[in-house]
Amino acid sequence: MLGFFATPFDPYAQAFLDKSFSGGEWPHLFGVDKLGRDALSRVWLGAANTLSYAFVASMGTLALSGFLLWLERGRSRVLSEGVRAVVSLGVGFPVVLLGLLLMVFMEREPETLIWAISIATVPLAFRQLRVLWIEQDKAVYTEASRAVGGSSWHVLRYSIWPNLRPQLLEIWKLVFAVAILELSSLSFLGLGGDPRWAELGAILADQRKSMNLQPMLVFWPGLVLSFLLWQTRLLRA
Amino acid sequence: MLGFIGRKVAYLGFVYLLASVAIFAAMKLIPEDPLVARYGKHVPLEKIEAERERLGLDRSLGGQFWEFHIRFWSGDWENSLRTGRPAAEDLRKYLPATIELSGLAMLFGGGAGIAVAMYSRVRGNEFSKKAAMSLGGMGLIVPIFWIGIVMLVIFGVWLEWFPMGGRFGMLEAPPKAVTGLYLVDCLLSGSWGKLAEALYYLLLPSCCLAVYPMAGVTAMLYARLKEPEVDALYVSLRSKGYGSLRIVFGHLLRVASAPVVTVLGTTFGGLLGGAFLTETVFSWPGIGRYMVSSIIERDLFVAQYLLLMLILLIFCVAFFSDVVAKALDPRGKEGGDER
Amino acid sequence: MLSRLASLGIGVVFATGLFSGCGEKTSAEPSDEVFIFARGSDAQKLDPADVEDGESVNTLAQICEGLVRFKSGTSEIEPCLAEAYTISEDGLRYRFKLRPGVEFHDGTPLNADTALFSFLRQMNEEHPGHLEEASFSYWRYLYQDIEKVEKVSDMEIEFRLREPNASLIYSLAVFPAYLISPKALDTYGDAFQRNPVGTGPYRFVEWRPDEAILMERNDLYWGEKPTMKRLVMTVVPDNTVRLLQLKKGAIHGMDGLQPAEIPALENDETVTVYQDVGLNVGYLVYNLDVERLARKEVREAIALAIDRDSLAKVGLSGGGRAANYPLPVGFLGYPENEDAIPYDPERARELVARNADAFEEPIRLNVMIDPRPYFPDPVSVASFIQGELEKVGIEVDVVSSDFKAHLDDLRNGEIELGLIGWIGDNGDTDNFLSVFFASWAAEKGTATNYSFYRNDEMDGLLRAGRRETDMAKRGEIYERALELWRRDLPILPLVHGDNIVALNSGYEGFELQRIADLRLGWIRPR
Repeated sequence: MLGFFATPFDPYAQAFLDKSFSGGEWPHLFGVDKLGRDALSRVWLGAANTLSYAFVASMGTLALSGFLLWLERGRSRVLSEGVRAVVSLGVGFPVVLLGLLLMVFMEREPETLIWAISIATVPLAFRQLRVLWIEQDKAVYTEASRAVGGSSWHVLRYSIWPNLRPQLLEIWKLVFAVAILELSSLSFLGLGGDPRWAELGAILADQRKSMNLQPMLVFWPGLVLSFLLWQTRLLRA
Repeated sequence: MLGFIGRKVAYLGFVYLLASVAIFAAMKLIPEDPLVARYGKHVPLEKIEAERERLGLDRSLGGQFWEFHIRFWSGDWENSLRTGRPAAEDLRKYLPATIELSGLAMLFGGGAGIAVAMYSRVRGNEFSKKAAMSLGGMGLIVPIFWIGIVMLVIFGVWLEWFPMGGRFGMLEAPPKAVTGLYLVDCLLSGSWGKLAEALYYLLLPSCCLAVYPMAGVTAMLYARLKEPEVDALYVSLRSKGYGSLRIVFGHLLRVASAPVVTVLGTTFGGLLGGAFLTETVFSWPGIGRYMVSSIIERDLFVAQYLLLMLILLIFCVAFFSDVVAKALDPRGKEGGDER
Repeated sequence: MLSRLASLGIGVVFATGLFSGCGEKTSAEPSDEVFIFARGSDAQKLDPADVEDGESVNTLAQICEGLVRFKSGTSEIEPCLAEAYTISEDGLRYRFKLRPGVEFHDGTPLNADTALFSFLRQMNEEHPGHLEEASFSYWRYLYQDIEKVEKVSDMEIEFRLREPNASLIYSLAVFPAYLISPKALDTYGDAFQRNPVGTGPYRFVEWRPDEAILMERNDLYWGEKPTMKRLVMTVVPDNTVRLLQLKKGAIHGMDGLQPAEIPALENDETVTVYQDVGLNVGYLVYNLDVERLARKEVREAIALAIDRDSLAKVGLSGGGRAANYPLPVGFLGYPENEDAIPYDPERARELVARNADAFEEPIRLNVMIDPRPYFPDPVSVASFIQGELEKVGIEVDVVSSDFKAHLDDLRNGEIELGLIGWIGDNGDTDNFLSVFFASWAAEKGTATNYSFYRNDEMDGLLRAGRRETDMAKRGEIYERALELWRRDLPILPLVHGDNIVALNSGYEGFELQRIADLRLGWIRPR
């Protein structure tokens, strides 16, 4: 996570051309890639980039799903049917295809990926959120709280929220993990635009071309990516 | 139940309309002219206009949209701009390959997921539980493009248990096409040798793809088994002195079946996306690769009909799984016997 | 913890396996049963008159032949389906005497009538073989000077030209001029473009789309008989997997090898790599319609800042050579002086300083993500150039897109700097210079002159070069055109990508071709 502020070497500088394809040796623990860049610095920054972009995307997803949920739970029947239909349109629509389609129209850059992922993950999050909300809404303590005349804000703040929070976190964890996976798949496919962009999927795709030559260059980003995902699943409130 | 199905069918109609409008609009908004983009070197300018007229792309948008529907339903999907092959004919070749792949993946993934979740619930110490859950969650931990190449290297290159990609041997003719699904065709024609060959090529890629539904099923099912009501059922069964196997097969599986079917149904679309990556690694001639290349190559007709088809397919699968789940769900039936 | 251990385990096993080299043994001994050649994508159509992708051309090259062909491994013309040919003094009549006793794969004998079919169907719009969905884009381009093709006698045909064209005989050796059987049109109807019937060493058997194209030996072949009973062109999209398959003996030959892999293969006894300079040039386009790039010093600064030798070594991993001129070495008019543009970062820095206003905003560099023969890894070429330019103080934004979108941007002039290349069609100089510099190739939307360079003097030279039949004079004309290029610098040639094919060492009889078609016809087990 520190990757943004400090890396041992400039991850973009092609400073060590003479050491192309070398293995791990001090000070280049992960080796040096084809263009003479320090692999550790790239993986380091890559991890930070992956996490932060996936984080933004997951937040985008939750915000979007929350908004849709609000629309859906609203008074208008037509609106709620509409929202459900639109969301169900996206259920299981492969994110790879969605990303590709977006790229046909939009410029390839990391920010576009955030859009693709935010949108593609909405159906997943929306379904979960909806189930959760309905459960809470009907829960005994909520109704009790309403019955004693709590304002809707009061109900939300003191009855629903405390029970909602841990489950919301669960959902976010899932969304976040999915976002990391999707982000790395999309950038693995080269949809990230700037080829130098240090992101784990992009680094993997880049280094895979020289896999037979220097497997460690592929091995490390893959490992770090798996490690991040694994950590995400263990994240506690 | 009938009302439920009726609502779903109405939904499907709405989805179709929405999807067709969205896809049609998207195809019209492609910044490149697909007719020009077809050429890499010399663009025969004088031919482009004639071509546009021949393909009916110079007509009014409304007319084209109408024809889009007519052709979609009549099955005459025009020819691919790239290959000149009728798009519908291509679909009949590529879709079964992917159905076979992802169908088997769902079967494997679902089975493994159930096994893992049941195992972790019913038995085992902390350590083996964690191990099982990690294995089950592999699809969410290790990216699928990574698993594919690792499996190929281990099972194809070192152990030589499986071929390194492809769908059928080059030297033999595949089974006579009836459904296009090699496994089914082999069974129909009763050629066991070919069935073995088809399985030999199919197993590795479908296991690779299976990690994805496996993760979904494991996570979902484990959560379901932990729910208070199911937990109560489990505890009461235990206290009656039932053995693990009896609890699992006699009761828990029934409780579990509905959510599992739902999860599998909704992961089908994601599977198609994963199928693209798997198909690329394992040189599998499937619809994922075909779809992606048709978008990249701006193969207008293939892309538009195929996208609509896939969306409908994803929906029908989700819809079907909902119906099945509803039928299976003990809570859904009147006087459900589990509570 | 456990999953971490598991993934670590997988990774370690994986990595050590790669280190130790995966291809210790070949599963199948070389035999004459079948030869499997793998490439990254499938052929599109199998109609020589209506294709342009390398995969289709390489497939057709096993099945069909032309009247003449390039002598293997050279750019000299030798007779093929024509036994002999004569060109009239004025360069307007080409007469071909057909080889007797040759049959197409469907039994149709080769004679003047059957030979004419392949040309007439491209020329005449009323011809039944002039399919409306086919574009015949090459005919309009390479053969535009042909006015008439006619039968002289049963075994002789003659081409008549509107004006002399020195490159026509070369054009007749490339794929759009391959002969196909007229009977195939009746036999296959709509599926004609998917069922090629030629005279070549292999006959077409079956096409499993995106999977494989199956061929078998043509036992009635007129020339030296091919050895392999069957030939399969299969599709393995993933580069790494393809190489693993080759090492394991699951396939016997492949293209699309990443150049970076070559050094590691040198010690591998199972694989033989064939590498030779390719007939192409990868270059950097300056869009002259962009204000700052219209300034000569700006273009010069960028040109001087890029070390092309290092680019060939690093960006192409040794899979190519630095380009000095926008022409492959040895082409007509290629100057003696080898160093047209030196690498001079000092001078580049001076020019940047003097034109500081032009470099305030970062310059956009557009690149495609898909590999091409001239840039096996275009993205790392772009990264390398970005690094080079930043060293002299030029900020660069790299924008990558898929090949189709990239081409569209180039054709419409919606770029500043762009990376692209050209693969020669027929080995002629005009086929490069007219493509890059002619003002008639600078129409927005369909341009191949992506820098939109317009110069009357250049146009005049290019026209004169086409008409001139005296090779010495023609060479001088092209030398003058290259001087103009150096003066105005509308494009910066970077590299010539190599032709690279890897075969299982158990097979021999393969030779790389100058015009990069693939001849697998005479491969045999060692």
